[in-house]
Amino acid sequence: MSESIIKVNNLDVEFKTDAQTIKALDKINLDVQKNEFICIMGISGCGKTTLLNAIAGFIEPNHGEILLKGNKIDGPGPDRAVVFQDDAVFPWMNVEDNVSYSHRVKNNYNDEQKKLVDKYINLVGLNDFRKAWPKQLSGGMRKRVDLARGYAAEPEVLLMDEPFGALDVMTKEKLQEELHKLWANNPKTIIFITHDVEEAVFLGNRVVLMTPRPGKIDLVIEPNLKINRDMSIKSESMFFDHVRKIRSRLKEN
Amino acid sequence: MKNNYKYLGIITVLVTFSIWFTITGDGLALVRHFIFPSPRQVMQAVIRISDIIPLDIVYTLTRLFIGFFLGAMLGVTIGLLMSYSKIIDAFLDPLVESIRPVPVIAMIPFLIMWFGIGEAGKIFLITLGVFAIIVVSTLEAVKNVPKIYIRAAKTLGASDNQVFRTVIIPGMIPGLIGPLRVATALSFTLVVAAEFMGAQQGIGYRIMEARRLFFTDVILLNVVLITILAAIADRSVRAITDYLTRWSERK
Repeated sequence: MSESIIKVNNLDVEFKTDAQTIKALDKINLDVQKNEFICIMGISGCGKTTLLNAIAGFIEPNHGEILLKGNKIDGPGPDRAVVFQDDAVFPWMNVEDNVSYSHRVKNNYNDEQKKLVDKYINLVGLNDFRKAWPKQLSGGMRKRVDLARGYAAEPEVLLMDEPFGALDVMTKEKLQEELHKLWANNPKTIIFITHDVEEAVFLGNRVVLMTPRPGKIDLVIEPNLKINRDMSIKSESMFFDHVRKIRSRLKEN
Repeated sequence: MKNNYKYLGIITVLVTFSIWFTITGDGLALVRHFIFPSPRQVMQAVIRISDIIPLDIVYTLTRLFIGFFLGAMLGVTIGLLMSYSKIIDAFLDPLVESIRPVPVIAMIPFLIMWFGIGEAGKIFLITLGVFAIIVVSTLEAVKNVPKIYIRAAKTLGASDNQVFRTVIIPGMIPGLIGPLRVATALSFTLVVAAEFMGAQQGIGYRIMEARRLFFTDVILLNVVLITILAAIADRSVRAITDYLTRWSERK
């Protein structure tokens, strides 16, 4: 039934400084299924962003390989759009031009693509702001532009590197709900990096816990929460059990 | 409150004017007219040479504009080429770095020898001065475009060329506003210097000619004239760059 999109095989990544070699990732194996929402979580320095950067193609592994639908990843590409933590919405383009960027660089921005762009602008609730400059939007709205832009690129997998990390708690929870809704209604393979336990459990249908130095996969849980959930699920015992399990595991390491 | 403070500037202007009037010929005549002219003399000079002022302005601004345009275009183009290709950068960097600190005015004797006192030498001087500022600023402005935009563009499928066109070029414009304004101001200095070295028309030429005849009123008049033109040019550059960066947070 399920189809593997990303396959990480025995991945090692090392960073060399003048004095020493630091092993950032140690024999990572991961199989990401189509339309899975996978959260990779861990404390800072555990290598989770390194793993995402390797999948995105920004860094080359020292050993092992990453396959996208069986093809080895070599450099960044539109099949793996990234939503970054920092604001990456192009400030010199209005909302619509940002969201349609991936199609305009392919020179095939036709009516069909335009409909798609419209759809995602609507889905993130920015229809009234399609001609606005990013500077006229709040941080949360800019993040929505970024999500819509990533979705509209129709990548095989959408990579998110702590996208809500810089937002205030209220905005963050609102965007978590919106992203979950977006994903539930528009299936997409998403790899989501976070250090926030509750965020990982809320969003992911699989949560991968990593431990640092060297970065290893320590624990994998599948929360199996009901689809179309909202923040109220955070008070349910099932949610809380998962959070507690991850928290205690984090303390052990 | 802020608006009230604005009027304080008017007092400064009035006081300055009064001092000028008082110490020169029509007041207490503490300063003789061939050292510094009185306000009345400058006004009379305006009327006396009103027929040649427009042509002087046209000549000076034409030289300035052509020199500035060539220098800015060349500076941006070479700067972009150098930031686009490491090979071009390696070739041109020593040349640019050695031209940059040269006070271009020191080149005037050479320019006279090469180009005579025709238009080419004057335009070349301005081009050189503007180029030196803009080429380095372009390199810096490109470096200052946040890397995250380049990464984002690449993961959205942009080729290197497209990253250059859609990210680097728009992203570098805010970094060029200051340098363009500095280059504009420098162009005015250079066009006057170029006209000092020999010309038949132009504001700089008119100042030199008046100096030989001790027409201090004409000198002062032309100094005021070039200052006003420089201020207008600065406003125009700002208006254009403000429009080009209307998306930017700084506005």
